[in-house]
Parts: sequence; C-alpha cells; structure tokens
Amino acid sequence: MRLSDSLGRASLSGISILALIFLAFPLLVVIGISFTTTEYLRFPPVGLTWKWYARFFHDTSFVESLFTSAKLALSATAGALLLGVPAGLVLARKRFPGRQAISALFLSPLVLPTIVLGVAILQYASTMGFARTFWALFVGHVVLVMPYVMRTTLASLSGFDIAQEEAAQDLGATPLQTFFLVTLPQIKPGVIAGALFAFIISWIDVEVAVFNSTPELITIPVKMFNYIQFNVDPIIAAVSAITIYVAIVAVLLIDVTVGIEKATTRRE
Amino acid sequence: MRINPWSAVLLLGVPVAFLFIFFIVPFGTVAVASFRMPADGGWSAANYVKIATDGYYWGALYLTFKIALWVTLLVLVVGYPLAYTITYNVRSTLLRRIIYIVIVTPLFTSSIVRAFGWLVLLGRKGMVNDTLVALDFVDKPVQILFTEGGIVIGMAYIMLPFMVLTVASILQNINTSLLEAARDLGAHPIVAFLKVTFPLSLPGVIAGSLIVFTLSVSAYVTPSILSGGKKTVMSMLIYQQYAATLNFPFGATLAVALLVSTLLLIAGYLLVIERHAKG
Amino acid sequence: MAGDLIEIVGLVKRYGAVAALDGVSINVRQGEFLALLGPSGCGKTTLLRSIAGFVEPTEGQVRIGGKVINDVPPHERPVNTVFQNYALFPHMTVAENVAFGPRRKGMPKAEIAKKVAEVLAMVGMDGYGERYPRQLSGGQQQRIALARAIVNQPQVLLLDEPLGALDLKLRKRMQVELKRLHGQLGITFIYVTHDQEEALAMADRIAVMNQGKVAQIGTGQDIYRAPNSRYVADFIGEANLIECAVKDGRLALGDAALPYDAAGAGAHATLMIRPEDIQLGAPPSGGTPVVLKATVRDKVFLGSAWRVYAALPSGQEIAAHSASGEAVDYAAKGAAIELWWPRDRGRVLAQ
Repeated sequence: MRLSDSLGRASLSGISILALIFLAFPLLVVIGISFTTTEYLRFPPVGLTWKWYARFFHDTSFVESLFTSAKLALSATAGALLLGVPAGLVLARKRFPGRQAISALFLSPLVLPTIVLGVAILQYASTMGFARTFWALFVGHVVLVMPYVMRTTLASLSGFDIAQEEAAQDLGATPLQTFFLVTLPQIKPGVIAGALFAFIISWIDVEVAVFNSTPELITIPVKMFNYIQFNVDPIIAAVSAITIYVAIVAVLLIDVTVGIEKATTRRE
Repeated sequence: MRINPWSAVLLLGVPVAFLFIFFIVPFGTVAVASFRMPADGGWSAANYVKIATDGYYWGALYLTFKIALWVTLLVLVVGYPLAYTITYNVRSTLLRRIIYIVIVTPLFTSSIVRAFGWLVLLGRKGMVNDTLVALDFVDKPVQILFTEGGIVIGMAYIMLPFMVLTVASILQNINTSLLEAARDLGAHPIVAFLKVTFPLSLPGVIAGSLIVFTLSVSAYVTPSILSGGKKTVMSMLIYQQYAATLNFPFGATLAVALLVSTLLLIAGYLLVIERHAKG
Repeated sequence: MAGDLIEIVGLVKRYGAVAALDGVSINVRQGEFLALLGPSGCGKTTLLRSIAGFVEPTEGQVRIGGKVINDVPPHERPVNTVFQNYALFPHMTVAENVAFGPRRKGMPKAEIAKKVAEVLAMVGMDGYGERYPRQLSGGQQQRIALARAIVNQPQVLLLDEPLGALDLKLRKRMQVELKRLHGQLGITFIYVTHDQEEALAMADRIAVMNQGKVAQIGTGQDIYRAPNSRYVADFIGEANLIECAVKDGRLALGDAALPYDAAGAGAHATLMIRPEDIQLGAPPSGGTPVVLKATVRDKVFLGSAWRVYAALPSGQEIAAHSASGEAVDYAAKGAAIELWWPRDRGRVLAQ
C-alpha cells in the first residue's frame, strides 16, 4: 500500500475516533457524575456512592413521572403499532391513486418541527377541551412516533416475498390467518425495531410533552427539564444516568433482534 | 396478498382519520389562530405585521438559521469521515456493531441529558476549559457556555448520529467495484474519492443535511439550556408565548413563520441543487 | 362441454390498455394433464393465477365443476398451487409447511401427522419433516412445495413453472416423477411452462398461448404434426418455414411447383417441414416424395445425429437432421445435393 493511502486512512481513522469519543463522552460524564460523593457536580467523580440514586427513588414525584413516561411511551407505541402496521400493510400491497401522498402524510411528522406539533396539540386540545390530559399527550405522541413504525414496517414488507402470502391463501388461510401465520412472523424483527424506536422517541420527547404537562402529569424528561432550570445537583445526573441505561438496553435489544446497523441504515 | 377493498378501506382509513384529526387539524388550528387577535379574537394579520416590522424577531430568526447552518456544516465535516470509515475501513463485524451502538445510544437519550452533559463539560471549571488551560492553548478559562459557539457544539453533538447514519446508508449502496475500477485506471485515492465516491454519496449528504438543518431549526431544549437565557432562538420565543405569556395567537404566528421560512429555505436549497445537477 | 371439470369462458384480463388475457376459452377434463405453453408475457401465468384466484378477470368466467368461482376468494377454491420459486414458509419446518393446509381445514392432529408422513413419503422426502426449507436443496424444496399442495387433495393442481429453477438433469427426472404422481393421484394438473420439450414430455394436451390468446390446443402429437400457424410451428420443436408463392392455387418455390394445394391462402404461403423428416440424397422410387436441389452450407455434429444446413436455389436456408453416416458423407460442405421428404410430412400454413 502506498504511503498516501496509509496516511489518508490514518487521518480518517483519527477523525473517526475523535468523533466517537465526542459521541460517547458526555454520556460517560453524566454517568460518572451520578456516582460522586460531592454535593455539587463533579467530574471525574469523587468517591463512589449510590446515594443520588437512592434519593431519586425516595422522591415520589420523580418516580411518578418515571411511571408517567413509561405508561405514555408504552401506550403511544401500542397505538402507533395498531395504526401503523395495518396502514403499512395496505400501502405496501395495494396500488391506488393517492398512495404516495398517504405514505408522505404518514412520514411527515418526521420532518416537521416537533415544537410546532407540541403547540398544535396544545391549542387543538384546548379548543376540544382535553388540554393537558393524558389523552393530549397520548395522541401527540402517537403522531410523533408513528413514522418510525411505518418506516420499518414498510421496509420489511418491501423485502418480503408476496408469493408466500399467496401460497398461504392458496392453502386455505383467510387473509387474517395469512397475516398472523405467515406475514407477521417474518416481518416481526422490523416491527419490533420500529416499536423500540417509537418507544424511545416518546420516552425522550420534551418538545411535545412540555406543552401538555401539568405538575401532576409530567414525563421524566420534562420533569428533568424543569428541575434543571433551578437546581443543578447530582440527583439530576442520577436521573439522567437511568435514562441512559434505558437507552443502552433499547439499543442492545434492537441489535439482538435485527442488528443495530440494519435497523438504523436503510439498504435500498 | 389479496386484501379485499372493504378491509383495505378500514385498515388504512382509521389511521388516516387519526392523523387527520390529531395532526392535520391541529396544524390547521395553529395556522388559523395565527390570524387572530389575542385581545378580542377578531381576524387580523397584525401578528404577522408585528413580526415583520420588529427587528427583534428578525434577529431571532437570523440567529436560529445561523446556528442551524453552522451545526449542519460542523456535523457534515465530522460525520462524513466517520460514516466513510465505518462503511469502508472497519472490517471486524464486532467492532462495527460496537461503533454503531456508540453512535445510536446518544440518539436514544433525551436531549436534556445530553445538553446536561455539555453543561458540565463546557463550564468555566469544566473539563474542556481545564484541558485547554493544561495544554496551554489559553491562559485562563474561556467563556464557551452560553455563547453561540457553545450552542453549536451541543447541537452538533445531538445531530451527529443523524448525519452519520444517513450518509452511511447511502455509502453502503455504492458498488465498491466502481472504486476499484477507478483505482485500476490509475486514479489517485483522493482523485477516486472526489470523482467517484463523493458524487455518488451526494444524495446521503443532501438528505442528511436536510434532516440536521430542520431538526436544528426547531430544537428547543438544547439551545434553551446551553444559552442560559442569553441568546434567543425562535423555538424559545414560541415556547414563551405558549407557556409564559399565554398569547397563543402570537405564538402560532411565530410557529407558522418558523415553519414557512424553513420550508422556503429548504425549497431554495433543493432548487439550487437541482440546477446544479442539470447544469 | 358438460362433464368437463374446468371451463374457462371468454376470459379477459386488462391492465390499463394492455390485455394480459384476451378472450381465452379452454375446457379441462377431470384427471387431465394440461400444459399452458408460451413465451414470457403470453398470458399463461395470468391464466393460471385467475384459476387460483389471485387475478380478478375483467371479463369472462372461470367455472369449476359447473360452478362459477370468479368471486370465490383463493382460500375457498378447491385448487392448490405449486409456486414458481416454491414460496415455502421459511419460518416453518417441512412438516409444518405441509401441515399448513390440513390445519386450516381443522383436521385432527393425529390425522394431520399421518397425512403429512404419507405425502412426504410419496414425494420421496420421508425423514425430512423436522428440517427447515433453507436446509434443503432446490430439488428437495421443489418436492416439499409439491407435497404441501397435494396433501390437500385439491380437485386441480396448478403448477407455475415448477421445474424452472432446477438444472437440466434434475428437471428431466422430476418430469418423470411428476407424470407418475399425476397417474397415481388422478388429480387434474394444469402446468405452466415455457419449455416445449417439457410440455411434450408430460402433458396430455397442450394449449399454446400467444399474446393473451390460445393459439392452438391439442395433444402434443397433433400440435407437433399439424400446427395451425407459423407461430405454433416455430414454437413447438424445430421447423423449416419455407416462404413460397402461390401459383394457380398451388405452392411454388421459384420455378418449381410443389405438390401442395394452397387455394385460398392468398399470394404467399409458408411450407413447414420438420428437419428430421428431410432425407438427403435421391428419393427412392415409389411414394410421392417432394424433391429439392440445394447446396450444403454447413454441418454440425449433435451427438445422436448431424444437422445439415443447405441453401435452396431461392437462397432460403433449410435444415435437415440425419443419423446415417453415408448421407452425411454425401453432404460435404459446398456440395450440390438433392433432398426430399414424403409429401404428407409438409404442411401449408397461411400467412
């Protein structure tokens, strides 16, 4: 290999390693701080203690918002699956005028400013009389996360051999049986990946939730956001660290079910 | 699969109706509200006039786009080499998986947590300043936090995974034999890259920069934490109107202004690219 | 015709302006082996899929046992299909694949197990029940696809180029096995193929299709001996198609009149003669041979015979097959020769 080749490769690797450190470091810092024994933020941490985690779990308002977030993310994911998978199925299998436009509609929440979606839900819910309720959060988050379910569902269906569905029907399966016995088992990895994405997007959202929360009904990111405006102490690092652990678990789950590379980059 | 027409209407109709009721109509509500007066609820374009004639709003809009542009450029410069390296130069499957996990995990973490990390790192007594001083780059700690530069760094951090993943997914589809052919024909690696790989990866660069730009324009959490209230971008103004001032119509006008100007900028960008591709 | 199992009446399928099926009528008898033969795009697969229920015809009827089934969904039709690329379910074992149909009918478990074992034995795949499709070779997958279909005892088995993906040797062996299976089961087979040899080897009758229409239907021998058009003659087997003029109601090639009646054919007609019917050398006395003079251009060794290419005085090329060594020596390259055939082997085809 020529010298210029190795030099080019070395500098590329150098930039890449720096970029990866850039990506990992802030998260490591947060995790590190969460174990410090000092009363103020300190990195590298001094000593090693679980007390900030203990304090977090003793603060019922934090734990409650953790539950609110989990409940919201789970139900929004379920809603997005129930709506997104059948719609993806029809869009992938049927040819009809306006199909492109409807696909675009399903994916459009992805590119529109999330903060505008947040205020739109607030304003709409106010006129309809359900502002700052769980339902407002729920519908906002279903709209927010549906594109992720749609995208992976459509991608798995496009790689799926339609002859298999025909074979199932040919052998006497009704359309419903065909879906549950033949199609779903095979697109399952894609659907699971989409569901995990949806869960996480809901779980970490601030822009939609911040407009539709009350002191009693508040998700963990919004709770943290409000907390951070007035207090900066290692509790917040502990809470942050917990959400990072959830993220790591989700990423590993996706890696195990479909492979993280395949799930996050789309091969056409 | 043969889905009978009635099931198809039901399976697709319910989700479309849902999006119509909870997505299109709410956006419509915002658009309509932007033409209302907060005081009496009458129709008026006064909100738009206020934005157009007050330099303060132009300043916020300018800052919003300026930050978004810098973030996009920075992310492209850092993200492209990373995408290139993981696609072409990392052979080990295990290493690739680990790298992808490192890239995706921040994406799965709330922007608050990520901004919080930077809050600690960029402070006067934070690690970045400590390192700069220790390496004698600067004499005394510099102000990074609460500056535009600090916001750009924090947002670039949030946006980097989007660019890397988008570019990598395009690079994966480039036929490597084209590259080998270029090398075989005597092209220097840099020439081969500039003449073959980069042009073919342009769709990824364009898509990635569009995603990063739109997300940056509407980002709220990162700028509001890392600005310390000293800099104001559009999303922060919108939030103030809806959450503090409770002037929904004016907030709606700001949201529409942000949405429309973003779409216009994107349309202009795509137009330039198309011209360029044709010429 | 009454008593026919399948009646296809005036079937039309249009995709926009394109007619994939353009008025197809075919009757298929109970227990028959019918081949739908034609090049890709001729409509044979569309016809098969309309019988299976995956294509909704624009016009016309599909009847099975006298009942119109146009509106019956695929899962309720008394037919089963062997798909082109088998379409085995990759997430199920061989046994689960085969049991898929019987399970949908709610057959008791013990009975399903018995039937699955039976059918797997029938296709020579006993002992493979616990494998997954990806662990099997192409030929083995083919057998499983067959087993999965016949276990349901359909009235009609539809086969969509089932041997297309196999290599030549395996294909020949499977042809024999399929034919044997057809005899054993007594099920009606409708078999789509673009391979004329396959159709000739297996089918009771062949429907040759062209541009959405049935060009000719009949036994292999009928169609081979008496094609009704240039298209069919050219598609089935090898054929010399000699362009002739029509003079005084008879064929003429240059100055030579040929003993074929072509009244009503117009100014031109085509004479079809199969290469293996052409003999080299002077004709024997007696009979009514047709004799032509020609110049040998080339000869090619085929293994079991030689193929001789010769130019007629008109410049048209004619091919002859010959197994006899003397005849081949006679036809040296560049030599002027005579060739002949029994009159009744030639066929006049209208333009």
